[in-house]
Amino acid sequence: MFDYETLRLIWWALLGILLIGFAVMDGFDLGTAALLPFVARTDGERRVAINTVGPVWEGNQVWFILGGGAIFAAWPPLYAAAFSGFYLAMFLVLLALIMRPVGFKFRGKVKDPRWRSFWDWSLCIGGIVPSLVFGVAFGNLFRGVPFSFDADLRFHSTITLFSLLNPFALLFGLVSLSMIVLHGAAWLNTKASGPVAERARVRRWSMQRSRSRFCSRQPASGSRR
Amino acid sequence: MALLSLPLPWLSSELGWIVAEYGRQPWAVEGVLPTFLAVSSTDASNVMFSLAGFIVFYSSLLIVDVFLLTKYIRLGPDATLGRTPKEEAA
Repeated sequence: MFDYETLRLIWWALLGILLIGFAVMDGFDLGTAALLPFVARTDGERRVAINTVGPVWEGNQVWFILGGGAIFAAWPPLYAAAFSGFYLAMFLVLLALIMRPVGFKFRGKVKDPRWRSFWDWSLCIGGIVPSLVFGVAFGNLFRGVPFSFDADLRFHSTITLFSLLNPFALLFGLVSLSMIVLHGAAWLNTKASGPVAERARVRRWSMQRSRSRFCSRQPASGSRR
Repeated sequence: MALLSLPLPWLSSELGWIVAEYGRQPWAVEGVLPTFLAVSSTDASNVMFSLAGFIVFYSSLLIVDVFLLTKYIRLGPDATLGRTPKEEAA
């Protein structure tokens, strides 16, 4: 029905949709988690911030899993290169993403403020680390990563975690983090109320400023609300 | 007796897996992909590191989980469990 080239094009489009879906849908709950200790000070405020993403964050994360599944099915060499080459980076992302469900579920189980603040900070780290690493990964893709396939189609690379953390890719990571935090702040500003929304508005504004400083030479034209 | 046989399904599935792994040698995919070509070129130290990381990470989560389980078992059914977050925040 379709030839190979057409199928490849369709799968590229699907992969793009999955990644965009992930950035749009999971972006705001990663951002909300990253902002949690900063926009919400008291226990009640933190509960408000968590409840804005509570019902949806799990479903949002499925975009990422589906993205991984899609490249496994449609682009095995890409899957091999991404998961072998970025092995330790993936490990970091996984650890951070595993902190999220645990944080969301364990947080309310004990009343001790130290317990709650521990899980709040692990949620925060669980929001920051993936946002940063995804950006770093994309930075490296733009820069090009050293890998090859030998005659037996085995994957070889000289990529290490530290070679991934080059300044160019780190800048990408910062841009990605600031975009996701901006996304989360806009979400909190819309969904929450009271001091949480107010602090989120301020963060959102400052993130918008710093992002436009990263991405363009034009000065930020106020807060585009 | 019933209590002692609890690990048996797990044991038999593990043993079945071991039999399958030995039985397909020297092929990863029978007649197509020999095992030595199917081995990942990912550095063994990376794999050791991530395995150790996951063991430490999941073991700590297990400890926390068992702590929470025993806590809620001791508290019995009318504890805070089942309250909505809104009630808890108030």
